[in-house]
Amino acid sequence: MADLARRLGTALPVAALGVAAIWLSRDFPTVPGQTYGPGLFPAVLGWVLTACALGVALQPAAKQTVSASSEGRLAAAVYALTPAVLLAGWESAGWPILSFALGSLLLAVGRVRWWRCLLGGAMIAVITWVLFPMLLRVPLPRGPLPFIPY
Amino acid sequence: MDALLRAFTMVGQPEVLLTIVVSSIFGLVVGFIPGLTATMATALLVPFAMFLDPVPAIASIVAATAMAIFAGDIPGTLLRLPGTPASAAYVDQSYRLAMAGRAGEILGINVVFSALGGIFGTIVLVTSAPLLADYALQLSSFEFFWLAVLGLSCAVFVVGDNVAKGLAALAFGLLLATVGRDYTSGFPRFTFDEADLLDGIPFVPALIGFFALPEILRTMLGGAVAHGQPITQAGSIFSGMIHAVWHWRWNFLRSSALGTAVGALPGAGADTAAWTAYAVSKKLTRDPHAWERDSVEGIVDSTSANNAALSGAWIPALVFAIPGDTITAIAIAVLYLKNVTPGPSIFLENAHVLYAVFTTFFVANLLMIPLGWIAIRAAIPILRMPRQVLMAPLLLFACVGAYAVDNNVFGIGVMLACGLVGYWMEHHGYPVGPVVLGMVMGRLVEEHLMTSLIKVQGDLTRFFERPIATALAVFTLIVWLLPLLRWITKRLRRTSATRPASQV
Repeated sequence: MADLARRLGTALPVAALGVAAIWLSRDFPTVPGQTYGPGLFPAVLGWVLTACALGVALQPAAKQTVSASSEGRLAAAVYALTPAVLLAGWESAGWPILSFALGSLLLAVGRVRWWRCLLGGAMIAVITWVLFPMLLRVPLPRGPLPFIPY
Repeated sequence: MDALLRAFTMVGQPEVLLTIVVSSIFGLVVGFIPGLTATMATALLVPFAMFLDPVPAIASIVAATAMAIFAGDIPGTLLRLPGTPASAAYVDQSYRLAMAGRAGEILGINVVFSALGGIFGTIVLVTSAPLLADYALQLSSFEFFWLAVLGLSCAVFVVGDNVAKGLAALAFGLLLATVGRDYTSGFPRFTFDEADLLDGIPFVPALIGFFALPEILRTMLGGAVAHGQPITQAGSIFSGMIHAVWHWRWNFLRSSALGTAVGALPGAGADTAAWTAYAVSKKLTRDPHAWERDSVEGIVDSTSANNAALSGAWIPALVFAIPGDTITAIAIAVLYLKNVTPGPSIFLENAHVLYAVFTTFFVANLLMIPLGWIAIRAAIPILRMPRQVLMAPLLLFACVGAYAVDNNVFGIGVMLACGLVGYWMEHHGYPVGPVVLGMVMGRLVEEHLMTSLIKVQGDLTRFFERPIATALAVFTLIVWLLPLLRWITKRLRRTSATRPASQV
C-alpha cells in the first residue's frame, strides 16, 4: 500500500503536467496556411510526459535516500525559505541587512557558535556588496542604509 | 591564420588570464568540497560570466570545470570522500593506497594525468571539430532535427539509469523551453499574463535552482557529515612522475581516447567516462592481482578519462550545438546569451572566438599542475571544516547571482521554484541533468522541426528522404530500442543461468 502511494506520488505530478500541457496548447493558434502551430510541440511533449508517468507508475517506487533528523529538517526548511524571505524584504530591508541577518541565521542553524555566526554574516554582507554592486555594478537595494556606497 | 593570431591576442590579455586563474581557483575550491559538483561550480560561475566578453566567459567555465574535476580527487584520496561524482569510481583505491603512505604519489598521479588527459581531449577537439564542421555545413534542418533527437535520446536511453524518469525529465526541460513567445508566430505560450515570462524562463536562475539548491538542502538535511580524519601529510607530489607517465603511457592513451569518446556522447559526462575507463582498466589489466592490491593502474586510467571527457563534450557542442554534458549545455546557453551561435557556422563567423576557446583549454590544463600543487597543500585545513558552514554563503551567492543576471527579483523566484522542483525530482529518482539539456536544446529542436514541417507541408515521410537524415533516424530508432534489447538480453541470461539448476 505504501509502495503504491509512493508510486502515485512519483507519477501523478508528471501526468498532471502532461495533461495540463496538452490542455493548454489546444488553444494556441495555427500558423497561417498550415494545420499546425505553436501548440504542436508542447502537445507532443504533454503526451510524452503522460506516457512516462504511466511508465513510472508501473515501476517499483524509488528508495528514499535521505533519512533526516528533525534538526536537519529544520535546517533544510530554513534554507528553503531563505530565498522567499529575501523576496519579501528585498526593497524594504535592502541587501546589506538581509544578507547579514540571513547569513547569521543560516550559519546558526548549521550549529556554528553565535559570535562566529555574526562574524560570518558580516563577512558575507561585505564580500557580496564589494563584489556585486561595487565591482560588477549590480544594483542591489540598500534599504534603510542609503549611505552605503555603490 | 589571422583568426589564430587574434585568438592568441585575446587569450593573452591580462584580464582574460586573470579570469582563467581566478576561475581555476574557484573550480579547485568547489571541486574539493565533497558533494559540490563541477556542474554546480559552472552554475554559480554563470552570473559572473554574464558580465564578461564571450572569450573570458567561456574561458572561466573551461578553467573552473577542469580544475573542479581534478580537485574532486583530493578529498577522495585524503578522506575517502569524492569531491565530485567524477572521482567516485576510484576513491576506494586512492584512499587505500594513501593510507598505505602513498598519498603524495596518488595526488601527483591525479594532477599530472588529469592535466595530460585534458590536453589529449583538447587535441582531439582541435583536430576533429573543424573537420566535422566542414561536413556539418552541408546538413539541412532535417539532419539537424534528427541529430538533436539522437543526441537527446542518447542522454536518456544510453546513459540514463531509468528510461521513463529520464525521458520525463527531458520532456519537462523541453516543455520549459517552450515558455514565452513562440518563435514562428510570436504567440505567448504558458506565460499566464506574466510579462517576465514573455522572453521565456530565465535560464541562469533556473540552472542555479536546479543544481545548487537541491544540493544545499540535501547537505543540510544530512546533518553533521562524519568526516574521516584527513591524512595530514601528502608528502612529495611530483617525484617519480616522469617515470610514471612513461610506464603508463599506453593506459593513458587508451583511457584518454575512451574518455574523449564517452564525453562526446550527449548526456554522458566525466563521471561516466571515469567509471567506464575504470571498468575497462580492470578487464584489460595484465596483472589483475597487482591491480587489486597496490597498482595505480585503475587510478591512472580513470583520472585521465574524466578530464579528457570534459574536452570531448565540447565536440558536439561546438559543431552541432548539441551539448555533450550539462556543463557544455550551460556553456552553449552562455554563448547564445553573448550572441555567439554555436554550430558549424561558428567556424566561419567567429573563428577567432573558437580558437581562443581552444587556447584556453590548453592554458587551463597546463595551469592545473602548479595550481593543483597549491590546492593539494591548501586542502588539508579546509577539509577539516564542516561542509554545512559553507552552505550559508553558497545559498546567498546563489540568490544574488540569480538576481544579477537581469537585475530582477523574478530571477530569485525562478531559482527557488526550480530548486524545489529539482529537489522533488531527485528525491523521487528523476535525474535533473536532462531537464537542463532540454531547456538548452528545446528551441533548436522545435525550430528545426517546424522549419522542416513547413518545408514539406506536414508530410512526415519526407523527414526520411535524404540519406543522412534516414541514417540518423535509423540510429535514433536503434537507441530507442536499446532498453528493450537490454531487457531481452537480461531475460535470456537469467533463463540460461537457472536452467542447469532446474535440470539437476
